[in-house]
Amino acid sequence: MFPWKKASRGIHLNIIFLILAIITPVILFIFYLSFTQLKKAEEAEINRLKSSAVLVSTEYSQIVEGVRQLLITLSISEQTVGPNCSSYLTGLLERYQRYSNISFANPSGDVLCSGVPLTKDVKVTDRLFFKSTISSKTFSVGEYSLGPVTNKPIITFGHPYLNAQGALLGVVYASIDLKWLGRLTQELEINTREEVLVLDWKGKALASYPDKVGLTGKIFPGSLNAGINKTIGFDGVEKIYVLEKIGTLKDGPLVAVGMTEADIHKGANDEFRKAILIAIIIGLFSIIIGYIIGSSIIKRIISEFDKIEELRRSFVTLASHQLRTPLTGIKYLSEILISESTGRLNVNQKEFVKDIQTSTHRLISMIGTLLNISKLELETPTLLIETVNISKIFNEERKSINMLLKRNKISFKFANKKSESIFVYADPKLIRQAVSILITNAAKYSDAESTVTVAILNKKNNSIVSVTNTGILIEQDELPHLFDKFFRGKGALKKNEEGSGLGLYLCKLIINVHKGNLVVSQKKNREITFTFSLPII
Amino acid sequence: MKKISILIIEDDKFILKAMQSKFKQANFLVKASSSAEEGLKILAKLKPDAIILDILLPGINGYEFLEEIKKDPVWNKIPVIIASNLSEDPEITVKENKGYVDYVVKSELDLDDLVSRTKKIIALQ
Repeated sequence: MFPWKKASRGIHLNIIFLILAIITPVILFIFYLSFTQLKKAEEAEINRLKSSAVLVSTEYSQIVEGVRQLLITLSISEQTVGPNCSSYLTGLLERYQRYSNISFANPSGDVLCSGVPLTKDVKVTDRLFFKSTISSKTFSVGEYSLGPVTNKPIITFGHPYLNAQGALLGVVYASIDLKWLGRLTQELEINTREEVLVLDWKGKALASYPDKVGLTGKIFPGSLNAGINKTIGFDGVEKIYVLEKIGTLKDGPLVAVGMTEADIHKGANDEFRKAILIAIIIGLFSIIIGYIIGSSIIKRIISEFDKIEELRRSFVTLASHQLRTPLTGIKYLSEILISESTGRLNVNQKEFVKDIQTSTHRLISMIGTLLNISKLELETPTLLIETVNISKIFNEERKSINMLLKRNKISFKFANKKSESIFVYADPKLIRQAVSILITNAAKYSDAESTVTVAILNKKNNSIVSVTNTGILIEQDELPHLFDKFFRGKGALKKNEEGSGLGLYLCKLIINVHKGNLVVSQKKNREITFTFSLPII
Repeated sequence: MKKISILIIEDDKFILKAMQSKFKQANFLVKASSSAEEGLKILAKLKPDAIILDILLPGINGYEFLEEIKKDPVWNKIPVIIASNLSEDPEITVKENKGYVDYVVKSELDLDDLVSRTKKIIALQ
């Protein structure tokens, strides 16, 4: 895995964070604006309720004023108390259709004259409008009732009839048909979400809009205080009601215009929801577009890196081949020379040809190391996996370093029994190279007359292999870098100036591509152990 | 006894010279060529017991040469040892289909080893 590929994973997340950082303030601002709009819209709704209440109240005030004017006129008219008073009042009823009856009663409450013909004797002594008029001696309003003469739901207003001396002769009174009241409300074209109620002073419903059957005469369950109340309506639903008194009459009727809070918020909420939806769409759109653009940029960068990496790799491959060809020439020709098939060499000549061979061999093996590194650094290197006898490989590779061991007077031993074979599943060429690197290093960097020990053992599903030698001291801060590319420790540089710093790097690469692990540890007595594990078959 | 004959196709003149010398010393009848085209001409005159073939060659390359000899009923029975300096063939597992019996990396092999491997392969035929 190339480092830029690993980094690109985090970048995708960073892009999303970046977009969020940019669009979050925008979205919050949209929310803020919408929220302010929401508050304003709510206030506007309440104001509309108020104006509806005032509008309805004004309309009704005019009706009440009409009633008052009529009753004042009647209370000074001779005809009201004349012998033909009933037919006079019947005439008035025909002219003013909003009245359901107009009558005159004496101070005892006996109805003397009535616009609607009386079929029996009627007394109004107990009626509120009568009592109020008698006691206040002014224009008074009664309450909702069923007309004793007409039997229709009505509200009645009364006015005293006084003689020239101010003595009470009786009460003129007029009743308004409540259906007519309801019609008026309808004509005002109030918003359908609003509920308009006309209540008498006790809270009895006189009219309603939208018109509800059976509501008339029922007591309003909520508060009757003038102003804005949050209270329960006839339908048991809590609403915001604006109550407004009609006219200036004491105990006069009231107008209540109500609306549920949900309805008040509804208009505003719709706007708010629209704003949120737009904000979400903008947000998602930005994230998607940003992510697509960002990803394609990353992809392009990665593909550029990949191209460079590919170029580097093909350069290594080609350069290696180009280097190997002349080296092979040197190798083969010196081999022929040393075989003396073309003539005998003297001792010096023989030694020089051997030196040529050693140098050639070193160069060739370095090229092999570079090629292997280049191959194993690939994301998915091609491995030719088969069953490998790891003990056997150690035995064979030990033979190839025999000369080195002899020269440095180093002994080599296996901690295991020689007959024991441990098999792993691996690429044999690569494992051979790893083994070769480890034991060659051990032989190179050991003290004279010391021992290199190899131990191979099976542990659970792994084969644990360790190579131990005693030689140079690796400083503590150098240990973690021992497997770095081109790293050479101070001790190694002092002991052996040859070496590319690639051996242990390649060794770790080889073990890692086999899903194993290579570690190093050092004891105080300069005893250093390289241990790797490989999965057993 | 008839000498074992071998055809070496190798464009590097020093390697070719060394191989020629070594195989002659090992008592082979050696035919050498520095290109595949020349190799085909030699084949027309002599059927060797084995061919040592380089891959990167001027003109037609080693694999194309293999394609050519595979078409001929007589030539396609000659064992071919590829001796290249390219690291091992990535498709080494299908070497039978490619028409060669062995693949060696020249720089990693001694001439002695090459000769003994060639002898072994011819003996197996």
